[in-house]
Amino acid sequence: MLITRPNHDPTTNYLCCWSEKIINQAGKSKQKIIDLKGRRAKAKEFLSIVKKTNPSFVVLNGHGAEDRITGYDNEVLVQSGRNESVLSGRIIFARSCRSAKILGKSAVASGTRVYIGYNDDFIFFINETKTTRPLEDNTAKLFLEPSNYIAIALLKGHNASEADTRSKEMYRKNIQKLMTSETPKEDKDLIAFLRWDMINQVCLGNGEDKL
Amino acid sequence: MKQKKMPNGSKITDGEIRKLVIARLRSFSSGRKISIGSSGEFTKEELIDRVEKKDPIGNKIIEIQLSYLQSLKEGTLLSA
Repeated sequence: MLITRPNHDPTTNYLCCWSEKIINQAGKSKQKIIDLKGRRAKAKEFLSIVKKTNPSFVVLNGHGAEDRITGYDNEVLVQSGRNESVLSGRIIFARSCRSAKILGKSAVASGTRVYIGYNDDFIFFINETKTTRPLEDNTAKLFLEPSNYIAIALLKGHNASEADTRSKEMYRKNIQKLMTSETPKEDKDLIAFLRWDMINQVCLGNGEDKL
Repeated sequence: MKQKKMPNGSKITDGEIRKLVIARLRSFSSGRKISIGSSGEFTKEELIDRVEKKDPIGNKIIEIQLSYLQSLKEGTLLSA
């Protein structure tokens, strides 16, 4: 597994920290881990390591747009019409805003086995008292744990379609938990955004494929 | 004035929608920020300001809230 996890701003720092849980699972699943953390998540190193190691599973964290995913300092790593073939033959989990819409489709059309990502903005909430300890942030956890589960389920041996379904099941459970009468009003405000991430998560390519 | 047709056939203006979304945002917890990709992190006061200004972040928040309210009306909250 190759994972990129830039950490140049609060949002990417949260994704970087929460990705440690994916890395832990990769270790348990006896996967070789190539961790491009922080400044290492730049185009030159990413492209060179993909070429050298030929990973079957790539997890990309970072900002994005419909046609691209970026790394450290928002440097473009993969872009539709430019170098999406670098994802060819691999299973991809892209935790990046909107990239499934154009890049995901063009990557699958050019040979990517599976592309799980988001058709619109990936949104989450941050507890301001936890910004220096993201893994202790139970508000962010409601969003990032279901998203993490895409990669974790794949690493546990589920196929892509099952990983997508199980992740969405976690979103549903979190929504249902927040709908109970014991939940404070301010937590119920998170439901609209959990639903947003769930409905915009898509699995493109061959859903039967697994690692 | 632009109007949107609601599922029950009634019509609501863009201004009324903005007021509705702002009322919902006012009830948000003050100790939180929302992360919206590369656009950054926003407090509830900043979100209210964006909705009032009708900028892309404000419009995104309106879209999310309307989509949620629609799903409640249609009974599709947990569908994906």
